Amino acid sequence: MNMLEMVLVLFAVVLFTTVALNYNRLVWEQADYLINANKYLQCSHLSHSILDEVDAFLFSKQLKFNDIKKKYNTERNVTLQHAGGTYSISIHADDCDSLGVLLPEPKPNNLYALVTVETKTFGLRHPVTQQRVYTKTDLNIK
Amino acid sequence: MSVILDVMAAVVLGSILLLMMITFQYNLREATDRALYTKQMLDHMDLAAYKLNGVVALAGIGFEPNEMVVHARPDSLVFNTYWDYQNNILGTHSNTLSISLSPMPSPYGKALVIRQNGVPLNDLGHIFWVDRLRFVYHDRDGRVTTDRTKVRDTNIYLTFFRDPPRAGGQTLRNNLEIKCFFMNAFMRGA
Repeated sequence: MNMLEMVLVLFAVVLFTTVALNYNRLVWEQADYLINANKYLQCSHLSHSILDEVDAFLFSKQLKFNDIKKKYNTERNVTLQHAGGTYSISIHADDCDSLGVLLPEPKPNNLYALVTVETKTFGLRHPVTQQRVYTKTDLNIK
Repeated sequence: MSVILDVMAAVVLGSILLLMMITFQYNLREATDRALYTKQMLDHMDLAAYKLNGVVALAGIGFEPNEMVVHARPDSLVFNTYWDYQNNILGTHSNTLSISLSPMPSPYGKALVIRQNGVPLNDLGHIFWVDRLRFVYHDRDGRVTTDRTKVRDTNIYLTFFRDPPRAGGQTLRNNLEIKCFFMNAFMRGA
């Protein structure tokens, strides 16, 4: 084997190794994206269920409007046996205006509260965040 | 002799490289197909969850909380409401809604069927590609219950499936867990 043949063989090895590495990287990335999409779906439903829970308890008067900030500034860790994985949920409640913009300072007898739910889990690229504005009405004062 | 050996070596090496490229292409196609199927599946799962949550949220309109649910079984849920899901309006008479898995003709296997007074809904009355469905019910304080008069929310465990893109491949399965509140029961004090 002369020098030219050796160089050609070297080029071939480099070319096919590059192709194989790129192919494997793309397949792994694709698998990551699919796992991310699946986790995103589950996290969005988890976040949604927390926001629905606040609504439900306000409706039934199990939760007073003024207690939202007290009871929904918390962290929860949930393990889902069926869907798989452990999910950490951060819940924050603050005073806001009617458009959901946070107030710089707490206002006495404010009519609106913004609840933000952020859910994270292994395999999810970015946390899922959902928000809902709750309004004080005669249904949930007492 | 040396030329013959060189040619044979070139043919063998060339064939191996060609086989490698063909295998790459097949694997790439399989991976792409699976990604496409899974993407469609995730869209379908989201739509199904949205639909189920909407159906349960409008349960029990016009009924006392303890009269809302007719059957609360692990594999099916039956409830009363004055909401007319078929026409998407508040009806003048009560309707009985049921959510359960039913066998479907091949290749669907089973489908989650939402029936109003025994008739499947026109809009997403059949949710295909579901092969497992389980309900776990909770009372107003979040405790697990099997008493239909105490049911105020339910966890729905769904398993979606799709056939593999290529024959002989592994079936694609995705699990989803959702929580649906019977909002009208809560509005009546739960």
